[in-house]
Amino acid sequence: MCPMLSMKNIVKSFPGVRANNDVSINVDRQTIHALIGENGAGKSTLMNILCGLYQPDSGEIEFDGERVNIGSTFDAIKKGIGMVHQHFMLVPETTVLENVLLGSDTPSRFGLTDYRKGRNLVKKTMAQFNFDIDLDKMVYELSVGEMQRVEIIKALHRGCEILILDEPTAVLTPSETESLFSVMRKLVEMGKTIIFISHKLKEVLAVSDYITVMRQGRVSGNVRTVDTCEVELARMMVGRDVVLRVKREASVPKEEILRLEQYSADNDRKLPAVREVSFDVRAGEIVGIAGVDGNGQTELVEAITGMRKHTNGSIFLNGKDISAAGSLKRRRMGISHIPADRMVFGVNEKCSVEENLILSVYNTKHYSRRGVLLRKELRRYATRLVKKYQVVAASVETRMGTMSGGNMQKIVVAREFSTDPVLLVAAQPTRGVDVGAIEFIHKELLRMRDEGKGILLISMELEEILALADRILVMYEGDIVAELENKNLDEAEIGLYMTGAKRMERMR
Amino acid sequence: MKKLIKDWFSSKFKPAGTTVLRQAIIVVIALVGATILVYISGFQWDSVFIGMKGAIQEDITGTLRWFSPLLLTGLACAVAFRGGIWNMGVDGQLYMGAITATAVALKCNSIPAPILLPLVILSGMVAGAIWAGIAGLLRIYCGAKEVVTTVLLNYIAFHFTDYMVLGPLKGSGGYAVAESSDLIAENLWLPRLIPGSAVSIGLIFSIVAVILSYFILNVTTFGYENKLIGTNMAFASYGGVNVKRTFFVSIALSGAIAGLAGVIEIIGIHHRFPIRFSSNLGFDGIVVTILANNSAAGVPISGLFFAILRNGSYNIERLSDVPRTLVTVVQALVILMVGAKFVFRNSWHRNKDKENAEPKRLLSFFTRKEKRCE
Repeated sequence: MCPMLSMKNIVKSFPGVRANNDVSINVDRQTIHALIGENGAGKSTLMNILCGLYQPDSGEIEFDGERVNIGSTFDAIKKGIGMVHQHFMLVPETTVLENVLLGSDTPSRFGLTDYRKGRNLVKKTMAQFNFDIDLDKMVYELSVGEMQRVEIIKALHRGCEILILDEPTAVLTPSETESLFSVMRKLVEMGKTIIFISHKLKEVLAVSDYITVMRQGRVSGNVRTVDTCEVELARMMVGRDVVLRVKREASVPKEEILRLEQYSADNDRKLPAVREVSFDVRAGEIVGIAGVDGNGQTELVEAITGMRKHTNGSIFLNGKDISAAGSLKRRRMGISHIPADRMVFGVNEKCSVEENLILSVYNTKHYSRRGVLLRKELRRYATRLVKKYQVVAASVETRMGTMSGGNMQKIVVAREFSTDPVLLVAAQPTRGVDVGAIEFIHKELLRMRDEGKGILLISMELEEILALADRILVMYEGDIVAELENKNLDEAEIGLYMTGAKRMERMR
Repeated sequence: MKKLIKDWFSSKFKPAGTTVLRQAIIVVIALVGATILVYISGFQWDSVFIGMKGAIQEDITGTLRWFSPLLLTGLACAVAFRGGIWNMGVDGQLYMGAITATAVALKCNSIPAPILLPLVILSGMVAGAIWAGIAGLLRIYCGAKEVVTTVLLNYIAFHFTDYMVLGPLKGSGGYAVAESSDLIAENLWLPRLIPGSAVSIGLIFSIVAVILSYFILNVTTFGYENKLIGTNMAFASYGGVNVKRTFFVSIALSGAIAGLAGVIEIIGIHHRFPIRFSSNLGFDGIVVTILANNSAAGVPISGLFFAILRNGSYNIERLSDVPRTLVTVVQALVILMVGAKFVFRNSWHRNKDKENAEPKRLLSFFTRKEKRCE
């Protein structure tokens, strides 16, 4: 039997890099085919070729054994290829229905979209695949999971046979991920084929039938999911043995670095998001904050780093009350911050690597004098960091926007680790980066801890917290509901705290 | 030489090279478009080129006369645009600078010239900075978009200067038809750079201003902060940049440069304040900047182009009946082309730009007033 889709010997070069070097991949009908690899391994390039966004330099694409030529995204849609991008392609200010109909073959009357007919068609599609979503809701009112479902409906409505999901779980909560997986299984049952791009090996193992691993523009492995395991996949991805869970020695916490007392903050809608939390972080320990996304973690981080005004309580750094200090002052006092939202706060895509790296030092004594930047010093500094943190960049003048997510995160980490901070606030430090980079970042965090820095780690991934933290705080609806030593913990019990089903007596 | 050509095409020089090339193509298309329009309108088809040729070969001083103010207004826009600030009020700031300088020159004539001259220049720059600063404060404290307020402030400036010239500063007349102020004392006039022409040492001032601005934007901490708020405000505030202050300083600096343009027009060219003398210099500054890709280094090149164009069209109007609005046509075409480039780029790299899309949680003080629904 010939595969449904087969891409043969695809080569695609960009100035300076060969993103796809003789890549071949076969996808069978009605399977979930996972495509994994480090950031910059060439997965996205390959999929963009399939979608008609790029033209390959050489190589062939076959559908059901027939050679096809995909010259544009329009061609791809006609051939039944639908892609759900990692960053959604929706218009937030319009309704779900309008988004689904936009750009599709919509019935029209007098050149105007016939929404009544369109609505019936979309409803039919949704009924067929068991989707339930209010078509008249504005997209900006939807949760991230719902937006993703709208994207899938959009693709199905255009009659796609192969659905490409580009890192769909990166933005989802664990429960949303679960429901996405059941949607995926359902779609395959109904005759669709899915290509699933991911970083997370556990998820890939849980949901896929076949796995193709890419490394440095080449296919480094092709396996059936039942025949493989996490360690093997990681090795194929990185090309060496990877420590999936870094070894953590017990910590020796010393003096108190950060203390919060009845600290509160509002969210953007002016509603209380952090409710009178009190805790401390000591030198040489990692305090992990676990919790489901949206329980006040973002606001807490911003209130600690001074980006958000607190509404109540006080904050002490090294015993000094810094409640009145703004974000610049807190930075100068030694608070470093790896922000959760990399694209917005972490990097400036329109600036160069150097300009991104110097943000934390540009106005310090050593790098500027009387308002004039010491360009040579800064260049030396940036070059040093790029080398030390093994950032893959042509030069420090490379524009940030052209780099892969993992490399961007390395730059954020490099910048925030290199100022010799007293306290490091790391929010989602490994979101969207590959296993090799995760290992690196985790090791760096532990190294910082052993150097005697205080570290506050916020992560939606319970596993990351369990791997790194010495002490775990669980946050639920703006409250700290549990404080646990990271010793022989029961994950299920933490889950109960995270969902608000349980709460420690002394935390009331 | 061979190496130079090779380097030009190698990746090392490519970014700058392609930008220059792209802007040059835009200019060529705009000129071709204007030529077609001239031909359709029944004029001699090569009027545009005859005018430009004259502006370069015969009347170079006339070209330099316009080069100087275009450098400054272009620069004023570049400083603001680079910081993501849409200062559309360069004309108003120029007028406020000019009227203040004129008033100081006329009313403080008891002060000896060597002291008064710097005072005149400084007062004009401060007035321009204040006028732009008002728009800056409105944005920072009320969330009013500067793209609107600067335009509105333009009208206030126009009418205010009208009032001044027709009222308190009204000249005794006798030397000109148009309403204007009295002539300022002759020892305040900027010396001519080229005797017998309208080119004063104001041109040197303009060039120094460009060099200084280039330095400020590219080598100082302020220049770095200016670029940061222009490209990603959330990133800047995360890094501890005082966004409000940087915003204010940027727009005030832009206004000061515009004010300087006004002062030099007064003390270098007119020596009095003729009513509504500016003939759109502020608007032209926007086009100069756009063609220069918002960079201080590009302003002299595109400024020179528009100076040639402007002077050429003035000359051609004098010699034939081709109207001088030809310049406006070329300018409009340039803006269209740059706009088209923008559209093309966005549709090419749509998914790339989606990632770059406006950060949702920008600083609350900038979005507070407008986008509460999200």
